[in-house]
Amino acid sequence: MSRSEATPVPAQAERAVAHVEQWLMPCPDLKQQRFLLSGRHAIVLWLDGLVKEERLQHAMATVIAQDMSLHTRRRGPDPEHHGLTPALSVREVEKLEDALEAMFDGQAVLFVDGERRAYTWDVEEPPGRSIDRPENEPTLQGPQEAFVESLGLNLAMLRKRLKTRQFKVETLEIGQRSRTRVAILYMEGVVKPELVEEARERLQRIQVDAVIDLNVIREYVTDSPFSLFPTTEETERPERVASGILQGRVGVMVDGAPMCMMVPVTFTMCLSSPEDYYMHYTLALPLRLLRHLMFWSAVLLPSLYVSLLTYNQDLVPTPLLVSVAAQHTGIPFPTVVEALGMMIAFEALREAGTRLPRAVGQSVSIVGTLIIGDAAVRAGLVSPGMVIVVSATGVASFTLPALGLVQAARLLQFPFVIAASFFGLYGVLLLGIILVGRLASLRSFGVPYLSPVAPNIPEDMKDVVIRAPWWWMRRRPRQFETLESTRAGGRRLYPRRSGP
Amino acid sequence: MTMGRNHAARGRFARLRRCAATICAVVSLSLLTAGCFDRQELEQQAFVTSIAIDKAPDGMVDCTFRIALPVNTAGGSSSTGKDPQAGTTPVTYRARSITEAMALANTSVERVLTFTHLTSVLIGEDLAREGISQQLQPLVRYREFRRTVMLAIAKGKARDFLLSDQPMLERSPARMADALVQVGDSSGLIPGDRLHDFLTALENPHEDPVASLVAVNAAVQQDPQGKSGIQGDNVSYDAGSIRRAGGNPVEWAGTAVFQGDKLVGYLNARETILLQLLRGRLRRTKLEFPDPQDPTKTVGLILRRERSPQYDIRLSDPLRVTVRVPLDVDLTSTEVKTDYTLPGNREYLERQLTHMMEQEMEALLIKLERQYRADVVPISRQGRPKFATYQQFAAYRWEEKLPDAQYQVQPDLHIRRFGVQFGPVQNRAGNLPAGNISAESSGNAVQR
Repeated sequence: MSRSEATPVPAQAERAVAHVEQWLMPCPDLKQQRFLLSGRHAIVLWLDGLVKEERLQHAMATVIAQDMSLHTRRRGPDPEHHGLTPALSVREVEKLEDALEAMFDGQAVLFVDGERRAYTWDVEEPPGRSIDRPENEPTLQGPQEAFVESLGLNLAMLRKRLKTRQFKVETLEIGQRSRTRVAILYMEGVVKPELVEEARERLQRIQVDAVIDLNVIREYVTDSPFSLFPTTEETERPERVASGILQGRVGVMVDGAPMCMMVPVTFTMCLSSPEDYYMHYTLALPLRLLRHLMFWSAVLLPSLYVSLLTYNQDLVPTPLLVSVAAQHTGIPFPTVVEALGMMIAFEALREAGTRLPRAVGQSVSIVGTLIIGDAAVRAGLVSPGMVIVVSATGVASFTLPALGLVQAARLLQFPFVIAASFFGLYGVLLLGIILVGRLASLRSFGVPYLSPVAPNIPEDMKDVVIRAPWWWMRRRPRQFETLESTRAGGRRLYPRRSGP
Repeated sequence: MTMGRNHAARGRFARLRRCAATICAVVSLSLLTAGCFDRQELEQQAFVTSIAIDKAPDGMVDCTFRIALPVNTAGGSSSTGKDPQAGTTPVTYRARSITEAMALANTSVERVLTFTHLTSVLIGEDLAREGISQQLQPLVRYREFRRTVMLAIAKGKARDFLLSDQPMLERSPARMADALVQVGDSSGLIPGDRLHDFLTALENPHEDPVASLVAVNAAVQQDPQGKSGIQGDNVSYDAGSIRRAGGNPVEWAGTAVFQGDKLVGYLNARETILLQLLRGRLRRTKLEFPDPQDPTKTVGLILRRERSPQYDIRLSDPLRVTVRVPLDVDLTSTEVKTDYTLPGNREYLERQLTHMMEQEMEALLIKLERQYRADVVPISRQGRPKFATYQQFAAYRWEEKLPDAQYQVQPDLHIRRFGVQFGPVQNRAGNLPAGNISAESSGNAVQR
């Protein structure tokens, strides 16, 4: 639909409507309303369901009333004021294609006889759910609203939080057929300009049919396309985006996706939960340590168990070894087969849990694991220790706040178990070294993935393992190389001491 | 020009090939150091938890292995009444060495014997008297043995100990050795030395090793329920004749003293406590002394090590050894009516206790150095700072000097606490507790 073959709006409203109908046929959802404006035929066209009916009715009534009052006062039609109404934002279009596009956006289009242009009325109310609680990143404390599928609503939620003219929203359209609006969000004067430039450039290079979801964008712009680890951060919490933007990061939102993608991101950010910032800061330290421990457990636990049991028995305390050996008598499979079988069964149950309706899903995953685990133990197919290890691994992976990291851990445990089955602890160690080397080589929009630990940025360590109290976080993270390095214009904001 | 380019290309190719070869070598070498050929499932192994070594005719040894027996608890086997973690009945093999016995053991044990979880090595008295360094060789060399193994000497046959050992609380015999070392560390009744300590003492010049002493109590073994009551009418600190009824037929008490690798004598449990205090290995222990006012009664003490004992060694002729043992004392029980919390009484008790302990410790040192001629404390190591070089130290004739040395032990007791009750227990007869002893005539000044 290039501009060269654009059709001008014909002078007769009837012809214009016929044209549009011809384009859209068959189209049961195309609605029209005819009335007279200064004795001329006027037709309003809209797509059913995309507009708010009351506002449309109101708009038509206003236009007609206006027209009548003009008639009585001036005794003549005033073409300039046709279709204009104070209650609406009105745009004039001269091409039929633009009019059609406006209809797809949920606007109503008014054609009037004798005028070679159409008026679009912004009465849109696209179908969608209302703002809801965050489902994927629930917290006990803190704001309880999440993004929805409408870009306009999502931007409004951000505007509400960042009432400054420095908060910029650049939009561009991606997708040849979907024409999806994609917004780049950043804080001018804070963010490194090259970062915005880089994000813009990467987005502009995308050539696709349709942007169905944010993930399409993510896979196009991510730094290491083959990496298991997420080099972008997705969140459905507007306040998290707002604080990310204030850190000097860039957000990318897609119309129709209830998520915002933040870049750059580091490994430690993936292990920090929004909850950390809403609780007392002393709690963040143990919780973050726990999450780090849980991440490595989720990756390593089954492989360590397998290698300890099949190669390095001398490292297990004797009573534990004897009791594990006791559990293991009569199990017909080697430990590796037992581990892999159990892990696959667990993954199957987890997958079943997500596919089923929520109410059923939870019971399936919990009861299924318990019953199948218990039955398998009783039948002597799996040892109880293995059930404990595999379910502990699963639980550990559930503690990770970033979904991308959970999936990486889920996938990585399999190569680790296989390495353990061939080389024991030595193999786990080798693969671990490769993994850490890989993590160290990753970058997210120019920021090393393991920063601020490696390379070490001492100033930024205040939000890695510990979470410094808010009044202590005077500076924005140095790793993002912001233009304005201090928050609140550099004023020192110590808490006031009580007493003399 | 062409030649040069060819040459460069060939050079680049060679470099590439070298690089590839290096990568291949590194990868294959690093991956071939381990592999599935090393894999051993738990079901393929038999974990030996204890070895007992006894003397056999013609220079052979009888090796007894106790193997941990894993029984599946989940399969509902509790109904059989068998302890799920009990060891199997020990098996004995006669061979020329431990390693040969280990090889022979697989003729009747259907799994590969593994010694990585060995926790205790017991050696029979007869063998120990002949010297055990030869038998210890495989324990040092073979990589499955650890130096943390507990080494104990059994009075009589070591095999009998394993056969009659029925732990009272531990379900797993594997835990037994660790538990014993722990008991030794906290009570001082056995030295609790591990194989590593033994070997270190054996390899250092002039030092002599010790090992824990274990024995079968014949009286308990014959009457495990203790129906016929307790035999004997005195308190004994000797392994194998502790006065008791019922319980585990075996007991551990005292020290086996070695001269080099040969067993030369025993210390009883009380002497072991003092030895451990002199060695500085004991942090806290309980000890009873006769009451200085009435030798038929006792005072109970908890001794805590204040600092490590301090040795002052004069390399004169004869050698003079002075040991200060600073101890912190809690009074746990008194039977006489004297109120020892009064400052004068406390000092009196401290003096008397110091004197008694001094005599006991000096007697112990003289027994060790003169009678057994074994330096197990070791005093020689405390004298090392007196020498400028190691060679001088090693060349010094400690073995000749120590038996004739003059020993002076100065226990430094400080009674600091008196338990949860200060004064002595009041009788209803209206007897008031005794006043300050120093005011009375010293000696047997007990008021009744």
